[in-house]
Amino acid sequence: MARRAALAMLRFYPSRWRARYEDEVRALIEDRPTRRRDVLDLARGALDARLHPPVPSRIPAVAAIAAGGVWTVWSLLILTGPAPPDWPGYVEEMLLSALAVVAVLVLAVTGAWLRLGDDATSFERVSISLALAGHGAWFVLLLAAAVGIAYGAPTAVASTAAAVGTMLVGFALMTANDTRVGALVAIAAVGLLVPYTIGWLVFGLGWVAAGFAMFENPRRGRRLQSF
Amino acid sequence: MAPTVPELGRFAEPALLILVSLSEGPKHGYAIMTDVEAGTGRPLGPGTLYAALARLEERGFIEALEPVDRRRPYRLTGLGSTVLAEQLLQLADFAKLGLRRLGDASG
Repeated sequence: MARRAALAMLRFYPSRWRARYEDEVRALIEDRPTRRRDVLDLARGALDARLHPPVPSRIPAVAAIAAGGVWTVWSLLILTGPAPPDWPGYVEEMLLSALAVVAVLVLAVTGAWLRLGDDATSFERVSISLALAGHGAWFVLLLAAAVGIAYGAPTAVASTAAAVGTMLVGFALMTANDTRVGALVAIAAVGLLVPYTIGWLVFGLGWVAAGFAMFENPRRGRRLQSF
Repeated sequence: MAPTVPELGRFAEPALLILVSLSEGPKHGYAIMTDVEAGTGRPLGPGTLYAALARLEERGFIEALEPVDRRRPYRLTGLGSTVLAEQLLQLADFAKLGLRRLGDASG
């Protein structure tokens, strides 16, 4: 029973990992008695293999470029368009795009943080926790606005928390010698804190630039390059 | 001072145990698990073993040899030997420090 569950766990590993290691792990499981804790260990291993693949995923880079691109287009439209007649003006028009952007940014900021590698410090854990909590709350509040429940101060608080967390992730990357990506992520986050549309443009362009930087250098930061 | 293989987070300790196991010659996963368990009394799960092996291989500390049946042996590289020696020397210094302090306290 435990052996069958252990073998089933191998299906949750990424395909690249399975192509490289599955045969030998399968042989290992079949050659020895399997304990229940081995099944849990393989489940943790599968999660780890997805979070820390030997060849980093391009998804966070694509997510950063896509989300930043959409935000940039909206910012340009707002900057060059006529002033909105009254509240909520353009905010209402861009709610659905904003929802999609915030959801996709979760992938981007998580991917950026994962570049830090295995031994995250407390500061690095706090930064990603704040960024994810902020993005989560921001998404929920935008959703509430989209269905007409509310929009206002709580959304601003949530987006500020997301921005501060993201900025800290950027600083963490910079101190971990991933200077370029870290600086661009931090600049994008600072843009969101600026209460003018030009700040939104910085936010969008910053994420686009961070996405291209992640594409150019997909390797994780300090911990791989320090030897 | 952290007596671990650097920069591997929670995989630092399993990685060190694997490097020590491979220091006596190439071994496949099953042999490494058996050796580690015999040496430490603590089992090494297959998920942890292969997460650590993948990291060590990625960093060039170990290399995979041609598989025999479905079992693939791994061996220590020159870089891996150097890193292991450094880690063990640090551990030895740490142990000496602890023993000296213990001696001072009891003497």
